[in-house]
Amino acid sequence: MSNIEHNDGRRSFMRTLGMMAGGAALLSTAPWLASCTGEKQAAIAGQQARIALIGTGSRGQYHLHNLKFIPHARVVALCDIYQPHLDEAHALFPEAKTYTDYRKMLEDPEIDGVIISTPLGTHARLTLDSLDAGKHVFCEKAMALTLDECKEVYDKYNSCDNVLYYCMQRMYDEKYVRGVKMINDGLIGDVVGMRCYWFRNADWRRECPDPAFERLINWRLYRETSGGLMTELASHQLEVCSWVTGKMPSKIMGMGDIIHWKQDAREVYDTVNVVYKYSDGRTISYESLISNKFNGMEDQILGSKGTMNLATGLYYLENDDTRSGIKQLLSSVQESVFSAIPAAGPSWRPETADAYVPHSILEGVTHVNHGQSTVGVDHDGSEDILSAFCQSCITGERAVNVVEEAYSATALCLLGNLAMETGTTIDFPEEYKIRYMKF
Amino acid sequence: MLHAAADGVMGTRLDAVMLGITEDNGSEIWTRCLQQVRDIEQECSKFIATSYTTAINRAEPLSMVQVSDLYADMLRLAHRYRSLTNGAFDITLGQGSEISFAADGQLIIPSTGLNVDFGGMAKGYALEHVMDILRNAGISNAFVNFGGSSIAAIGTHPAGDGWQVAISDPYTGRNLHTVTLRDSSLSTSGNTPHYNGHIVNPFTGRAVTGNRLSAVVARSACDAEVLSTAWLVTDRQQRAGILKNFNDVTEEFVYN
Repeated sequence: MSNIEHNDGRRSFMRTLGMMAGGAALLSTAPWLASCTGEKQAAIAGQQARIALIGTGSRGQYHLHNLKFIPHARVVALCDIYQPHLDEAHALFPEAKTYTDYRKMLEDPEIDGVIISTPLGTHARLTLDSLDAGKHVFCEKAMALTLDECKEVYDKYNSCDNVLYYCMQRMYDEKYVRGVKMINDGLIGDVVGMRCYWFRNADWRRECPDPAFERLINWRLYRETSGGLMTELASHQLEVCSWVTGKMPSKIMGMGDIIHWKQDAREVYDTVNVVYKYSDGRTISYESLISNKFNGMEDQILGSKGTMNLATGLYYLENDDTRSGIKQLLSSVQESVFSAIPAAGPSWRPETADAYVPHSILEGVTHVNHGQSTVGVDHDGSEDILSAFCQSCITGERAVNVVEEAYSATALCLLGNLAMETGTTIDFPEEYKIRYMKF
Repeated sequence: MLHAAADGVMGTRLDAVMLGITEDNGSEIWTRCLQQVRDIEQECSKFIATSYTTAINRAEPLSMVQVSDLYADMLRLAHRYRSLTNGAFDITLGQGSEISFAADGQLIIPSTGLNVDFGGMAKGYALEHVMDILRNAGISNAFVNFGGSSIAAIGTHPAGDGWQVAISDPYTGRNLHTVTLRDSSLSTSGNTPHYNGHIVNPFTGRAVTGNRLSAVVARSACDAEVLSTAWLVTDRQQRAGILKNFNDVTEEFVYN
């Protein structure tokens, strides 16, 4: 039931985007949405992209569940080297062919697009090979494990015509799109800083029945396959910061360590604090740890006139006149409607911080991601970006800036890790700058 | 219609909606209103180091303090309110200190010292000056909201026979009562979930606590404000006695 409701919700936002009042302005805030507007969805009615998926673990199966509700997608092939997961995925799509060698799978000309939900260390290789095989690609974030791999993939993308998506789902989340538009329109004044954080209290391990598979199942915990909290969590949040500012930080410093989950042989930090500084002096303060979940998760944009909490979809104004009833009074005068305005009460005091009033970015929307799931949640844009990819597999139309945003965010994550490992302040390296970036 | 607003005035926000006025004319009038309010604040705020209130509160007993005509007017008015409210409103917070002036107009600090706080009166006093400026400028329909706690209206809303205002419970948001203002003022006093204990009972010296809310509608914004403050520390019988001294109160409530 929730999936059906959600499907309707997605359609109402994406489908009406081109026609709705302010739709064009939203498209200028999120130009990548132009490839999946309602008109373009209507134009591909009845057609289906033939989709293959590599990596049938928890995130892969999450995508498979979502694919069941995407009418313009047909899952035709599944690939994994871990048989239990492949069997589970096959049970979801019994008609799909199964593979344990992705190269074999890529030889199949009946596949239009490939979804890659494998450990980070394999993203670059699988993406390059899939593009070389002429397939469109939808890859999980982050882009790759190293900056050199990122650059190689980005250069390949620029030298071919294939569609490439990275699952930066916030870019397709309606409350983020509208929230960033509100920021661009000046609702919270000048953006003066950003605070992003993600707190959980869990060991981040997956059950591993056979120790031989430890490094495959728990790939997130080892450096040869994972960038840890930065690539797995911060990548989404740092993307939001570059989206909001339209700029890239030029200096990176940070500290990280394993402070709580010491009982296993993990190599990635369970606690990270990274500061990103822009050339104009503004900073992103990034914090994540997985031994206390009190603060939850938030992408918080601080403005001179207000604060935008994009993850919870709420904003707060420094001088909030919305309670004075004056706006209501003005429209009642203009519309010549006589009604009481809710203006009176004990004196309103802006300096009392507790009195910040939350305002919803989306009226009546209550879906909030608290960040505690390690797989994915409904209504966070993941389904929408996947649907957009399947649509692109049919039309061949790329989603503008998605790859560039993924490259930028991944670079920031990897440089954050480098700063923490070396204990130094890092200048964004010239050799990894791309033309898209403004510093 | 012109809407003007200013933040950071007497710790809150001042909004004015003026009808039937040009923008040039309106902004000139608004500038004068704002200047008047800020002048009053500069003189009487206990939070401003250079105010007369700060000077008086720091002055040695039996010394003399030179104050402006405006400030002397406020002191005399406050003194009169204490007597009209039978002591329930007292800017000296129950000290019962006498306000007296020397022949040359200087304020005489009594032997016990003087500690004044215009918190329960300043916004109403300032609002009354604002309404005078608007009326003298020929504005016949206007609505002025001083932080939600002091509201005054001239004339009527274009679609009604006055200006309707709902009083909401700061703890629940529930609408407690609706009043219609027409050439009159509404003042609301009480605690909020985030701001508590700022009103002191002059009879006991203790802060008023809990969800207690009062509202008074009167022709004079200053009367309304003073009475809504006094209403928080008085019982029904005391209020009836006080009302005999005021002839401009049209509605008054206390919610507990």
